[in-house]
Amino acid sequence: MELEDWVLDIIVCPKCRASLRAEDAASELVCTGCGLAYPVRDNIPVLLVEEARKP
Amino acid sequence: MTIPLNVARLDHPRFSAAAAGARLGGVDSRGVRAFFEQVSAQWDDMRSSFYNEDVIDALAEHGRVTAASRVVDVGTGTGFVAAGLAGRAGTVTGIDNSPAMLAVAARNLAALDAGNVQLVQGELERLPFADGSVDVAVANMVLHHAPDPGRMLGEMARVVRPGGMIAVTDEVEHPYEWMRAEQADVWLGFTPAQVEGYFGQSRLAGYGYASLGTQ
Repeated sequence: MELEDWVLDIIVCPKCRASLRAEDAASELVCTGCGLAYPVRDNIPVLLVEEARKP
Repeated sequence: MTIPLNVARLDHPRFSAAAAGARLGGVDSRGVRAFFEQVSAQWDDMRSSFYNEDVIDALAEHGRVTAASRVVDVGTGTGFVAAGLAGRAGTVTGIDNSPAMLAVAARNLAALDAGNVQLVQGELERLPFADGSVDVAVANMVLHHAPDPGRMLGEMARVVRPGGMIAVTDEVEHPYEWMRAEQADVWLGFTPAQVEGYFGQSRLAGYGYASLGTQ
């Protein structure tokens, strides 16, 4: 997973709109607000609530 | 096949407002996604009969895209507009709800070696972008697939900074009913009054409307 800083400045959690923290080891984006973890597949963040892993 | 295209331009979004829109036809966003999942491999050939590179020039011009612009391409599909704007903008983020279309976009963009483009999968009527986080939001031939066009434009207005721009290209109103079934179109184009209504719901500071001619 190689997301540049400018991407993390724009994307947010679609559920609560808090910012996302990159967890490179798990290839996930974790919401700093509600904790939902979004998968990143082939370097494409999948920012869908129904695809997120609950904390 | 001749369908006139228009570009609508909006100035200075301030904030968004939820909009309630009536849905026509039997296609919902899931149906639209299913359609594009099926046609992703053929889409670049299919769409070439509907529009060409002129839409990229129009979106860049009316969206006032500069080398510093942070651009979001809503409904990026196979990345045609995102790829076209990559060389003119600072960054381009392309979002779509179809993973198959995004897979084609990723291949197209890799061939271009555009390092300033990021693809994201998400819902167009619930954009996963922060308020005021970009300078320009564009959408090419996407609005007629939106069950609630006012909501989609409202979301675009929300993510664009105050003073930023939204540029949309789409079909003017047309009578081709078959496009609902064959192209997953929810709307058969738009009248200027419809577009004005949607933009009014988004409480934008101003807007313009220009013909792109017939393609």
